[in-house]
Amino acid sequence: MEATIEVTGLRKRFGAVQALDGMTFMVVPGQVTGFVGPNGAGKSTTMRVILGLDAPDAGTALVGGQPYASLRHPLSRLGSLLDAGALQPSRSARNHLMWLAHSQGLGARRVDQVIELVGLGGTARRKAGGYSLGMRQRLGIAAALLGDPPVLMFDEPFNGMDPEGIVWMRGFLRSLAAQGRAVLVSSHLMSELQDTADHLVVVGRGLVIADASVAELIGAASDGRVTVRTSARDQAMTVLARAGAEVAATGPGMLTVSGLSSERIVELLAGNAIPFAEVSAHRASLEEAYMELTRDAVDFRAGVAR
Amino acid sequence: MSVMTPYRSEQRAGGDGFTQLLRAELTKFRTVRGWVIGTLVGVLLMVGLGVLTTKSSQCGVPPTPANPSGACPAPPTGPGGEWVTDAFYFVRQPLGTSGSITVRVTSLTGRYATHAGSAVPGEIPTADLTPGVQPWAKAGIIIKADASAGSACSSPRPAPTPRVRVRPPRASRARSGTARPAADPFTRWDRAANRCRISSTSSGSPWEPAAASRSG
Repeated sequence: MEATIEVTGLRKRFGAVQALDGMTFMVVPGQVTGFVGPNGAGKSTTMRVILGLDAPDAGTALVGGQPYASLRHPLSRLGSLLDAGALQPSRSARNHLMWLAHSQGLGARRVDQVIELVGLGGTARRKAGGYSLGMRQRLGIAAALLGDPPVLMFDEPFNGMDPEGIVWMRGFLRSLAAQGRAVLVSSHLMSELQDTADHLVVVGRGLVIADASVAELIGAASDGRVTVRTSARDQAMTVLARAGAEVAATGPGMLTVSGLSSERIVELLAGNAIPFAEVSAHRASLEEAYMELTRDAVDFRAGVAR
Repeated sequence: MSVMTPYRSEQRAGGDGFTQLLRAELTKFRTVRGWVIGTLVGVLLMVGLGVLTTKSSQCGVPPTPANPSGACPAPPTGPGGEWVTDAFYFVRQPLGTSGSITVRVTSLTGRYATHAGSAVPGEIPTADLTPGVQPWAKAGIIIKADASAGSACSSPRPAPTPRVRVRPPRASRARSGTARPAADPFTRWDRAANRCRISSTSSGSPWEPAAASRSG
């Protein structure tokens, strides 16, 4: 069996809202695929369609080449976490996992294993209703891992996690991918995926805007730009702009220049006796790359603050 | 894109059939204490209410001063101890110290069950009814010991009996025989002071005394 998720041409309309508009991408084993986009871009809907919780108007979503609903032992084929809050608050975390395990013919031994795996060992007998959102996320991931599936899918698993939890989650997702699993993780915050995802599927308004490796995306966003660090920012801007460059002040004593090579910039600054500390190829953050890609795909944007 | 060996689980796949579903639902149910307690309380309430009501009123009769416990009254019985059904509808008219009542019965029809009569009081057989009059069926002047159900009664017939003979009620008198035709279409009950007399006649023939009694 292939350990993949294949989404092809998904379309789904909710009333007046076209939630999915030809969504197509693939999640392959051995890497963390980030599924990012603004709120309302169709990430959760796509995941619900993959699980068969929503029926698409058109297109297919296959798990290992089959629709999820036709899988035997589904928990051992695809583990998923859509809503960490979806549990009975007066049942203990361990018992929550227990009934899920029983539905797949698994026993208490596997339940205790996954509890240890997500670091809930000390609190598993407490009522799940008393859990923080971060702990519920861990519990949801434990549930997804019950069947030891080769494909995993988490919707916004970083939500509600404290910094320690975010660091743990990053490492955990990477380790799952390193075992050869296909991992799909949605997020609306790029910074969460910066050091986690290998591959990104960027979506907006129900379709894929970019489907590339993280390195490619950052490279594209940094393309041809040079960062200049200087104590005489205004003079530098004047000189470089006069030479035909596009100059943006990105911080105190910091400029981002496009349209000129770094050699030419050094030449110009030195020729005009402008002091500078550093001239380097600009490396965009994932956040920048994302903002550039999704600029036109944001449904809800705050007005400019006055 | 790097090619990687997909993950293979070492875990043995369990079943995912109906047994597992049932077990999962059972685990779901018993691990929420509130659900278990709620269900037990529900069962206790249902059983308890049932037991309590049957204990407190055995046949649902509202308690009265005469029957404070609401216990079932014994079914009415006749002088022979058998169950009877009596119902009365009274129209009253004062007679005074002297007077008479004359009744004419020209015909008497009825229907009766051919199978053994039901022992349950008040049950009216609806099927297998044969037209005909039972030997105990009477019409005319019927004298009853009192108005309570099952009290002794008598329907006077022309017989040389000096006093009103109080006869056992109908059921025990049931005998085979043809329905009695209205041989005595007129029956008269006379009272003069403390003497009562019952006499009967067919049309045209003189009154024959049927029974007489003296009270007080």
